Amino acid sequence: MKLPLLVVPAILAGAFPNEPPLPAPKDGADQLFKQARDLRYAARWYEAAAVYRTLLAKYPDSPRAPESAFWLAATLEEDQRWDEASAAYTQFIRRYPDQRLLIREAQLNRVRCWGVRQWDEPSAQEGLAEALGEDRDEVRVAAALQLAKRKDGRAVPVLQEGLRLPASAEACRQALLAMGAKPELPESAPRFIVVRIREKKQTPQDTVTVRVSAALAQGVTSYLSDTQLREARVKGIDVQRLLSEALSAPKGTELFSLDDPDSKVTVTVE
Amino acid sequence: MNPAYTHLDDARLLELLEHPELWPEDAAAQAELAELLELHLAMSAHGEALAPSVAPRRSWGGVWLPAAAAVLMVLGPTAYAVHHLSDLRSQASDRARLDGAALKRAQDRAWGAFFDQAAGLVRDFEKRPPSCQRGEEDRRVERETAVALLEASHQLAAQGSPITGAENTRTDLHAWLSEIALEDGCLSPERDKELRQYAMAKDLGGEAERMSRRLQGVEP
Repeated sequence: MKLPLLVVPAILAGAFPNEPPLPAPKDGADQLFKQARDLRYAARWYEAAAVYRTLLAKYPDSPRAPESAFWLAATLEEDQRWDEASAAYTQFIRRYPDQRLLIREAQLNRVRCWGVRQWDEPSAQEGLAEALGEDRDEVRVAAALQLAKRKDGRAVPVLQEGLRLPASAEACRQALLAMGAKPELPESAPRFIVVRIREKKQTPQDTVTVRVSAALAQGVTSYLSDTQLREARVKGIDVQRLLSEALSAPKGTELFSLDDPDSKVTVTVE
Repeated sequence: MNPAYTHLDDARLLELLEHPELWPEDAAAQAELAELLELHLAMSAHGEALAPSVAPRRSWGGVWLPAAAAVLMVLGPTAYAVHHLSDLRSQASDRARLDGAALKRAQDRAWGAFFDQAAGLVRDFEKRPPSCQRGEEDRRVERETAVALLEASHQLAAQGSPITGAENTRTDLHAWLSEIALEDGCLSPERDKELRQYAMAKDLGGEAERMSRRLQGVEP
């Protein structure tokens, strides 16, 4: 929905009537923008928000207006006024859909605001659920990760999709495991990495076996202690590289075996 | 009980018992399966043992030998099965513990890497950059790093923080990273100075380093 040009600043200005009076006004969009930024850097959030609103009300067509609407929402977020911030981000997204980079940030920041409020505010839960259908992968995944904190089952399909995105695969894998769901990569993972962990302090000394899809091989490093990773470096074993090549390694290949005083971890492809 | 494991026939249950590698990944489901198998085998075993007691009694004596043999035949496999299942259950619990530790470690490392790289970026920003045309400061490399870190920051925000104070530091860094990421790569000297002072005023580099050390357990 597109709002008429003059309505948005009016809404933004009228929505928060309890803010303190403005600091001494300066003329011009640029000066107001600079003044608001200085206030923001000084953590004077209320005043900064008020100046941004003045700028938007007085200079709605200024080239500074889109940025100001974004930073107004960001200021409210910094001030932990989560509901107001998410509403202001929504206004910004609707009013300035052509601001590509800012829109992406606004969508992600709004997901965070909803994430904070999802325990208390049903509309925040709904906002997150709606964000699961956004165009941008990173926004969908961020919303799913937030919902996963509350173990909301609606997050699972998006988290499973997120396993295919290199930037979010590990976060999605962790979230799925924390929700008690199995990370699944059916067609892309014809083989598994098998991690055998033999804990030395346990009696009897049983080996615990963990299977990880080879497509999620980087997750294996979380089963290695810092000492074992250091040992790998000393021995010249490039753990990350070996794991990234696991998909093409022949079955039965032992990638590496690392030891520390607590456990011995052996990693093979099967 | 998870309905996925309640409809399996004896052959499949025994196959699962002998092949733990075929068990589901989820530790909780493994524990459930272990319980179900234990119950199933115990009932099978005791069912045979109970059968003679409900059958008509024979009057002839000298039954102790076959009876003892029957008891041994029942108790032997049952004891083995119970022992084996107890091992499996203990494995499932070890597995759940190790999975939990791995998740925590992964979370700590992701946050630690973010703080390390952010501290590095703050340090880089304190150095004098090369010049763009028109006397501007060339911050294209730093801006690229800031964009990547901003993305990581969004993801960490969604995952939750591992230690107290980490979220506040991340939020402060996030605000600074947003400023850089949303600027052009070439900054006026005034703007460049402003962003440097912002980082210094909040001691962003120092805070990030402290958080990183805390996550490594070097600092309490």
